Formats: sequence, C-alpha cells, structure tokens
Amino acid sequence: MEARHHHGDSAYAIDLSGVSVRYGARLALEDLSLTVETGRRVAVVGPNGAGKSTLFNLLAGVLSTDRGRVLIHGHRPERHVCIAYVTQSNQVDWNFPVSVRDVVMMGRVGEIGLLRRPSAADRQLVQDSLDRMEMTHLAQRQIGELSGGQKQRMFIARALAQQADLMLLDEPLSGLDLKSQDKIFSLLDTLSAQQVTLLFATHDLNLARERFERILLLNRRLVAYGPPDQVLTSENLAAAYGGHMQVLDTADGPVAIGDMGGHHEHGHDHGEAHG
Amino acid sequence: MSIAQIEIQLIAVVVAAACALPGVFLVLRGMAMMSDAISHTVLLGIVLSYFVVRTLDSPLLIFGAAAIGLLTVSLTELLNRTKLVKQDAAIGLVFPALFSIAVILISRFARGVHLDNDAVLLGELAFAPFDRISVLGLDLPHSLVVMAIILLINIAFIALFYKELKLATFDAGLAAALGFSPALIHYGLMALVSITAVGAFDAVGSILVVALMVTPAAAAYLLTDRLERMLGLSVLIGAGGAVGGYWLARANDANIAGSMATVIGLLFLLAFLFAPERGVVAIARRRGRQRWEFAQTMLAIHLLQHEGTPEAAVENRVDHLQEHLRWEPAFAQGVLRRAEAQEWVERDNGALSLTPQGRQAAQKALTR
Repeated sequence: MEARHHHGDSAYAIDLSGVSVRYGARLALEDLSLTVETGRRVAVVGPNGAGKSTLFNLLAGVLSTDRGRVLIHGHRPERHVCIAYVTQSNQVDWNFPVSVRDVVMMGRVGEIGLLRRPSAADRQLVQDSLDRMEMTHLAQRQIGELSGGQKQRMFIARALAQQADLMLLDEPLSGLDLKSQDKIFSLLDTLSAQQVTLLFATHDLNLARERFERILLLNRRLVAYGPPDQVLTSENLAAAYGGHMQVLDTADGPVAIGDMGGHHEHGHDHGEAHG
Repeated sequence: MSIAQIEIQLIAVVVAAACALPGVFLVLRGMAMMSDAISHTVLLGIVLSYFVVRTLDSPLLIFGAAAIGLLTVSLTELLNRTKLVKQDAAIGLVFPALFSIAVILISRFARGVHLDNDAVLLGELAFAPFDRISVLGLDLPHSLVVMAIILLINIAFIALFYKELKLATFDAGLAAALGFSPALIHYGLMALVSITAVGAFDAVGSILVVALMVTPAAAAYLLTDRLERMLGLSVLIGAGGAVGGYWLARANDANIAGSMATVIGLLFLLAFLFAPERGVVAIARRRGRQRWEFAQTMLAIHLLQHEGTPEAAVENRVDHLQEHLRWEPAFAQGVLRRAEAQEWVERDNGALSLTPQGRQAAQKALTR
C-alpha cells in the first residue's frame, strides 16, 4: 500500500525531459520532453513505428533511456508498482497454463513482495477487480478460452488489482466490437474519476478526438500535446504522418486518411525492444 | 527386490524429478533446447574444475559446471543480441564450441580418468550403488545423496520464487515493471538447469538429461492448463518413466538411462495422442463434430430462408440438398439424420420442414 502514498511531492504523473531511446542505429524516440498532470486521460497517436510502444516500455521501466530523464510521480519508474501496463494481445502466450484469476493475481505480485503468499486482502482485491470487469464467472477459465474482449478485460482487471495510479493501455481496443469498447470506456470513466492517469495508444484519430481530453501526437519526436482541437490540426498531422497519410479539412476539423490499420508493424517496434 | 535394485530405482526417480521441475519452465519459455546446450557444456566446467582440484568427488565440480552453464546462456544471448545470428543458431554455435573444448581437454590431458566418452554420453546407472558415501551415519549411494540435494534445491527455488517465476515466464514486461528483474530470474533458472544437468550427468549422461527435462514437461503441458498441476504431473511422469525404464532395462538387459528415456517418450506419445482436450484424437473428434454441427446449421438456415415461400416445395427437399448445398448424397443423409435426431428438422415424404427448435437455432446462427 505504501507506494500509493508517497506521491504528494509532484503534481505531474509523468515528467519527461530530453528523453532519447535508441535500438541499434535507429532512434526510436528523440529528445522527448513532456509533462502530464495526474488524472489526465491521454490518447497516444502517431504512425506505425512512431515509438508508442517504446514510450510505454520506457514509462513502465521495462526499457531505460539512452539520454534524458523519466519521472513518474516524481520518482524513477523502476520498482514503481503503481504503473499498470496492458500489453497488446499479440504479445501474449495464450496457451500458457494459467487461469484468469491467476493472471489478475499477477497484478498483486509487486505488493505481496518476495517470499510471501497472497493474503486474504490480496485475494479480495482480485475478486473485486474480476467483479468490476464482470469476469467472475470466467475466473477459472484457462486464458486461451476467452474471447478477444474478455482477454482485454482480464488485463484491465489485472491493472485494477494492481491499484495502479498510471495505466498504460497499448491498443486495447484492437479487434473488439462496439459493445465491448463501450464497456471499457465506461470503466475508464470511473478510473478517471478516481484520478488515475490513463495513456491509451490507438490508431483511431476519431476515437482520440471524441473520447480523450488530451492527445499526444508522436513521431519519434513529440509533434504536439494538448486538447484534441489544438493537436489534430492539418499541419500537425502532416508533420506526424508525412506522406503516409492524406489530411482532409472538413467541417468537423481535419480528418486523416490512410495508415490506420497495420498493427503488425506497430508490434514490430515493440519486439525489437527485446531483441 | 534387492537393496541395490531399490537404490537404483530410487536414484532414477530422484534424477527424473529433479530434471522435470526446471524442465517445466524451460518448455514454457520456449527454451527447451537450452537444456541440450547446457547439459553438454557443463562438461567443460567439470573438466576445468577437475584440473584445479584433481578429483571427481569435489562439490567444486558442480559450481564450476554451473558457471560454464551460465556462460553458455550469456554467450548465446550475446551472439543473439548482435542480430547477426538467430537464437537457435546461436545455441548451435556456442554449445558445440564449448563442448569440443571439453572433449579435446579430456582426450589430451585427462585420459584414464573416469571421464570417458561413453559415460559422458550415456551414463551408467547400474554402477551407481557401488560408489557410496556415509551421511548422518547412513551408508548411501553417492549419486543418490547428490541428486537428493539438487532436487531439494530445485523444490526450494521454485517454491520460494513461484509467483515471480510464473509472472516472469508469462509476462516479462510486467515483471520488469514491478521491479523483478526478468534477467535475474532467468539466470537463476539457468543455474538450476546447470547444476541439475551436472548431477544427472553421472547417472544418465548428457544426452538423456534433455529427455528427462523436456519430455515430462511437454507431456504435462498437454494434460493440464494449470501451472501447479503441470509441475506435479511432470514429476509424476518423470518418476513413472524412471521406474518403468528400470524394469524395461532389466527385461532387455539394456542401458537403464536409455530405457528410462524410452518409457518417458512413450508416456509423451500417449499424452500427444490421447490428452483429453489437446491430444490429436480429441482435436480430430472436435473438428469432426464441428463439421457436422456447421453443416446442420447450414441446413437449418437453408430451410429457414425458403420457408413459406413458393419455391419451398422445390428447395426444401432431400434430393435438392445435394444440388443446392453441393453435398454428397451420403453426407446430406448424415446431416439430415443428425438434424432429425436433435429434432431440428422433420421429414415428410421427402419434404423437409423446420421444427420450432430448428427455426430458433437457424435464427440464432444468423444473428450471431
């Protein structure tokens, strides 16, 4: 529990200054400086290979910077149990012999600590998280038996069990139907109300515009960060997507066309992080 | 059974159990072949340590071997990280290099020592009871004591770090984010594999260590979808194979280690064919069932679409199915029989009609 209480010293959930990450000869992120206030709901958008997954890995403490400084609530990200990371579904071994409840319990491993077993309180938290995601009836299932939407809900339940203050969601809606998407957004509303900071990587610019109060437009460098109408301008989109995308000015503001799918390439830049 | 027979079986069971435990994590991490590499390169560790202590009974040999085991892992990763060589090729480059150094050293400087090539490759369990040691006043076979200690180390490591091992194996990213270094857990596991390989080396030789590590885990993987049960089942399969292998060897007057690996391999084959959910037979039966169910649903939808229309009298007839749905007559009859048995379809003089139940099923399939 303690990790949740020594946050008072910083108003920013995320504070990056001059951050660069390099994979071999390729710069994945270059000179990124950014502050995100606690409790913000941010859509992270940009073309494939823009460094969205790299940014998440950096914030989660999985990757370290080549240059620059990363602070989460005023602290370095390693050993920060308050950060939850919902990975892309295609990065997971769905045949792994674990139940849904086992996976949600993994969110508690950091708090439980070495050489200890889950307490009654841990088990209760896991149960509450399963209840909130309406997954209690699936708790004993092997994870490969779940549908796409249920798989995403399981990882969000794990993030809930972790009692994270910062939640990183890497394309959590890919392959979900509208009903499942709505369910996830109504939960995100609850989390926002509890001052949980949410970063949400997506390819869907309209979704970003409609559902998020801030947009982070990324293309290895920070193109823009701010409210949707200030970020999604023709100039910014052209700067981020370059020749990969056509930007049309419509009555509702600029609309970008092209380069919307391509999840596999996006996964690729994540894969390289681990070699 | 004589005391020696019981002792040999006991050693075999302990070796199999000690190998099966780390094997589960190797299989789940997709690193099964790393056990092959380590079980060979530990020989270099043994040889180098032997040059230092000049005896084959020192515990230092185990540490030396474990160190070379870890060196194997890190050299492989180093090569792999250059991105010039893939993971499997990196294993294939590193372990023969280290192993051949060991073989050359033995043949050049350590001839006449017990480290002969047959023993290295195959081991000889039958001689294990002759090499004895006194522990707490008990006169026990040396390899039984060594393997029991290694088994206890494996059990302790897995029990103490169970949730971290599970987390780091399933989701290295989250483990890192929570502050548990996946690299540390990885090397801890590889250290276990190394010391287990050294201990098992004497009893079963370097090639069959792989069979004892990988095969029980691969079989257990097919039989359960819980990690705890997979660990337990692996140990049981390994132990069963050990005892079965001993008696198979006696019946054929054959090498015990080879017979153990054979029986464990047969147990794997049984699981591969007949595992309740994931076995070949279960999959084939499920596919067959799905094919019939799909066809039956298609039939119901076909009948629903023409129901109450003028062409129903033509479309909804048995003889029309093979034309319209391109079904072989025998297959069409089979689908119909099943649909009738489940009371989806009624047949009246060649004309087909849906029951309320069949109509419901067709509508459900269409809206899904």
